[in-house]
Amino acid sequence: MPTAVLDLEFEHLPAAIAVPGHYDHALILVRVYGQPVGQALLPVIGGQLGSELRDRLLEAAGWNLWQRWLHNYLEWEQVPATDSPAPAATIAICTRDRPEDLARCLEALMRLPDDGQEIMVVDNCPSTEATRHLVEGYTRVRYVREERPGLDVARNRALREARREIVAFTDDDAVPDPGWLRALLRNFDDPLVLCVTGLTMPLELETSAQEWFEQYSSFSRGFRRTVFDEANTNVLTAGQAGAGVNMALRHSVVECVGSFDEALDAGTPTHSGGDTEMFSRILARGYRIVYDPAALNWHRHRRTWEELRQTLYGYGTGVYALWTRKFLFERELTIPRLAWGWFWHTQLPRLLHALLRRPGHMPLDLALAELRGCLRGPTAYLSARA
Amino acid sequence: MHDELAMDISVIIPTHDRSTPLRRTLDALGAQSYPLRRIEVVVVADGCTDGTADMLRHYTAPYALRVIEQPCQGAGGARNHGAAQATGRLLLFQDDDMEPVPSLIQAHVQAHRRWPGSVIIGASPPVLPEGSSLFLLDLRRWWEDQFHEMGRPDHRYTYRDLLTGNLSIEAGLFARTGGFDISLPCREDYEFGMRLVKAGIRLAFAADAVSHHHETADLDRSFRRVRQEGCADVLIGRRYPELRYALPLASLEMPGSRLSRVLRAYAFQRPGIGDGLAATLRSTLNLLERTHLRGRWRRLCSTLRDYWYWRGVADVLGSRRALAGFLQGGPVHVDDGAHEIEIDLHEGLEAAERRLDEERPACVRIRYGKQPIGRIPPTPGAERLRGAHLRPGLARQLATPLLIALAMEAAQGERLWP
Repeated sequence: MPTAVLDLEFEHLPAAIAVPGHYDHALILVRVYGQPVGQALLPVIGGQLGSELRDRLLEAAGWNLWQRWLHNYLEWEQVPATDSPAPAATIAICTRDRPEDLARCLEALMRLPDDGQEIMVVDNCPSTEATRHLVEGYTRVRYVREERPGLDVARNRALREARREIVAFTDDDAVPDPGWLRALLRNFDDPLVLCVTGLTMPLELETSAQEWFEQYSSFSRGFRRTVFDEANTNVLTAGQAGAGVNMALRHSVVECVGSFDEALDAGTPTHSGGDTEMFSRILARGYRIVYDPAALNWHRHRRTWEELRQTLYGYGTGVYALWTRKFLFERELTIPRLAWGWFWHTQLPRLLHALLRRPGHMPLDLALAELRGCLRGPTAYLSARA
Repeated sequence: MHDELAMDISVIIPTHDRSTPLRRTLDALGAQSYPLRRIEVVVVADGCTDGTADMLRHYTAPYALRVIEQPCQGAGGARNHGAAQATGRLLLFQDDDMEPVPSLIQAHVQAHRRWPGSVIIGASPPVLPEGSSLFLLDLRRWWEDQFHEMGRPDHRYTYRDLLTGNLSIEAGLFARTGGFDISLPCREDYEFGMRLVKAGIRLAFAADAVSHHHETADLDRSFRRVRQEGCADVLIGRRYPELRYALPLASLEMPGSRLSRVLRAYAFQRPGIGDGLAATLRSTLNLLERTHLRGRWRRLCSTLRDYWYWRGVADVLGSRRALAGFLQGGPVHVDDGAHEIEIDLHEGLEAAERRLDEERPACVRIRYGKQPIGRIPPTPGAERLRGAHLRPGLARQLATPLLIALAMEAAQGERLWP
């Protein structure tokens, strides 16, 4: 049964919320004074969200909500507003043959306050002219065509083409919140911060494939701002710092740690891992990544089961491809232990639960798809790199 | 800046056997936007044997360059010596591994106009060599955090913020304070900071007064330095008993790993064995770093730092018993006689901030109407409270009682949401 996705401001909660009849649950993003503070999954009863909505949201958001409220009362921020103006930004969307998604993304970008940001679409090895025609309809959007396939190739192209200090990436199937860019930018006041990531919520949960995706590989990294560096984070599991769907990089990242590994991510045999590999290098070279949930966007997860299975296969491949790079080319000797830990503590129990049909188990074909991806990862990386 | 508005400024550079980096500092001073004829540079060559004096004799500077040579006395003594000979109204201390940006002096002068009578600390972001070690990366994080924190408008300065690598002070004020204490093996900067803070002199950070710091520290030197810091902390604690519990040496009986407990015991009782063990462990650090075992490297490094710190403490005090006695000799309550006021947030946050700015108390009791919220206690070595410290104090330390008070008030008004 599908889940409605709602975005509610806590201090203006309506008395009753009607939800269309075909939803049996609602995933609610709770905001206080515009800032996301938590999420709640609530049952929909008789087309309505119950009268205890307020209490349930308070419970789900917990201390975050009170803290946000208090900081608002105090007019005090953990990241203080500085005298220096926010750095200028280029927004880059790397896309390939998805004009409908891209149109929704561009529409949302037009609703961002205009702080002089540059908007750029990198059309990666397109099979039609649809993307170019779409972008021509937006005078503020620059069109860049990159013929070599690969998401990391497109990202590197975006970094080369961008004319501003910060390059904010969002995916073509994502929809940024109006406050997205500003929230990302205010975290760059620390010179060691090379990357800022944000909160990505599901745009819709209409199919079971989307619901499973949200459950097993959600982009959300929680509702607390977190600063990651090499002293507090294992650089080999840098995916915890965020994902490429919602990240901004300082342009100097190329000089400081190098560009994206073009053997990784979508459009290559490795399917994913390019963003995580970049995060890992940023941390290993002593720089920082900030995760700030105030930088919000919404992602349309893949709708069909086959696409979901492909996605999980791709994640498995990407993780092992990236670990192959780290193990063989950067002499990270703890990789085997890490891989074993993931298998023993997460993948194997999932598989056993699926086989034994325990309540709430992961569908067996998804668990197997991820494992197959892992097995493919090392050779995929070596062949992509060759 | 118009020339007639400019004031004479003396840049004092203590140096010890670093003639190449020193040259870079001198070159950068020649490129200042500030009128060069109002600049005097005093280099104090402290026991140099690498031809620094020769280099200086042949150096042609576009500003007045004076060179003082002295037998090795340490940086504090060299700074005092340079300050005594300087003629400028303003003293700007620069280390010999700094590279000032062209607007450095102008930024310091402007900061003094903005906060007259203050001591201005400039930013010195570290510049690391390519492919830096974990040690240097950690060090850079420490420096950047320090500057980032000091750049916050609500930062509460402590004696530890007194960084001497890029610091300016009025010459008259420096003379009145008596300068740096040369009896300390190191941390004469902290001791100076403590005296300034106790005298109520304002420390201020000028984020635009930038001098790039070409970092050359290495791990072995840092261990030697940590031992000196252990010594210096005892001496500082003797002079300022109220600081004793705030110094790292107060963590003597803190639990730690078995290795760190063993090393701590050796540091006091069998330093010969301890030194041997520490040297052996030190040699494994490189292996850990080469194999990217970062977590283990960091834990072992921190254990060894602790060992050398305790060795330094033991150099002065001799035994753990003596250290315990030393700690017990400090005051139990640091607030005896501290200036304390009470504020009522019900009258508004701005009013409360104004009162703090007017009275500058050492600590404050806070209530909201009849509801007590709590207290910001006196902090040894920290500047007296300003209005700007109120909101972070409430947000970080007193959030829960304040929320309860606000919610109770809201409940009386029969609102559910404060």
